[in-house]
Amino acid sequence: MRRAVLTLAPLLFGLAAAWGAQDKQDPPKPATPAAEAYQALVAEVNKLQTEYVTAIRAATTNEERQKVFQEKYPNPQKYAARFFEIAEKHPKDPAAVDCLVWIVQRAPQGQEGTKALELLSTEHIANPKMAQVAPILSRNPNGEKLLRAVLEKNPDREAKGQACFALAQILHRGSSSRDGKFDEAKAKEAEQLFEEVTKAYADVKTGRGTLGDAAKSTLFEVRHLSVGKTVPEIEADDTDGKKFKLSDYRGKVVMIDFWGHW
Amino acid sequence: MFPHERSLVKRLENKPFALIGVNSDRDKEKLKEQNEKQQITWRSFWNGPEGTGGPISKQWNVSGWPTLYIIDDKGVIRHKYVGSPGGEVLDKNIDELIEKIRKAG
Repeated sequence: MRRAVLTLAPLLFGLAAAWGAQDKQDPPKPATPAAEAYQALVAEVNKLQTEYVTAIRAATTNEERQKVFQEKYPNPQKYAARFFEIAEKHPKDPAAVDCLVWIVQRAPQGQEGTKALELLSTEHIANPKMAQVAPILSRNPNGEKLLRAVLEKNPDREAKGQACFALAQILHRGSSSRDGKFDEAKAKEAEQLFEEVTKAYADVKTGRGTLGDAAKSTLFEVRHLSVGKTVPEIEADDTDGKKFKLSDYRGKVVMIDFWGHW
Repeated sequence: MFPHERSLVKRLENKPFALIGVNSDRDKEKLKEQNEKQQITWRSFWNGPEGTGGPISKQWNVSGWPTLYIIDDKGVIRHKYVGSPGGEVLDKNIDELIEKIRKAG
């Protein structure tokens, strides 16, 4: 059990929250047929989503929640094809980009997700809405290439900032691999990109705060917690309330384990 | 993780090695109970009542549990993992560093 990475646990509810937040930010659009079709479809899915969240909150047992999930959860994957249809029918309409962004944000796994991302990267790499796509790309196998393209070709400051941060995250993660090897060039570039975020894009908002704050805490990790650095001191109480220091164990090989029973 | 850690601590009890935890349980009483049940004998810093949002994991920018660091005898970070790479990899990396101390000493 403990091997499962804990951050995945609240995915379901996190998704619902992110969904609601995103839609509020969408500006009103001119009423082209494509925009109308897009908005109608978003409204349809959001209505089902609201009903689902209400039912989940009303459920009192795990069994009930499971049942509500099976019966009411509006799986975005089911709607991806309809969004893609609108985008295909009106490729020049700005709403086409909204449809593609919707798909890569909510249903990136299916074939529509792949096609939507491909269209975004070939036709819309300079679109300001790539700001919404960049964070997702930090977990995409082709993310590095696409984010470099956004950084190079997109004139929008927010899109550049998001791309810069997401690219830094990819390089940072890639710098220490599963088998414990360390890639210094990647780590170095990650550090430079995080620094650039704190200088040029610090005020750009994320779901939780600003890019600047996120970059700062990661910079501490990059500068002081990378392979080859001297470990920072920890001085705190142990689980019995007795104070001790990490450096008390200098002279020994130490494995530090961030853990919990939960 | 626990079974491997128990055997690791036992296997290296006379070697220059220490397993140090940073524990992120909120409830200290339950933690003590569980420690006895699971035979957790090694020492841990406590991350405080905020659990995974506590000051140590915050400063260390920990984003996944377990996160593991292997430090050599000079205090230099040698390996780092988000999610355990498995007992074999950990054993090998720790044994190599202990061997280096023996050769230098």
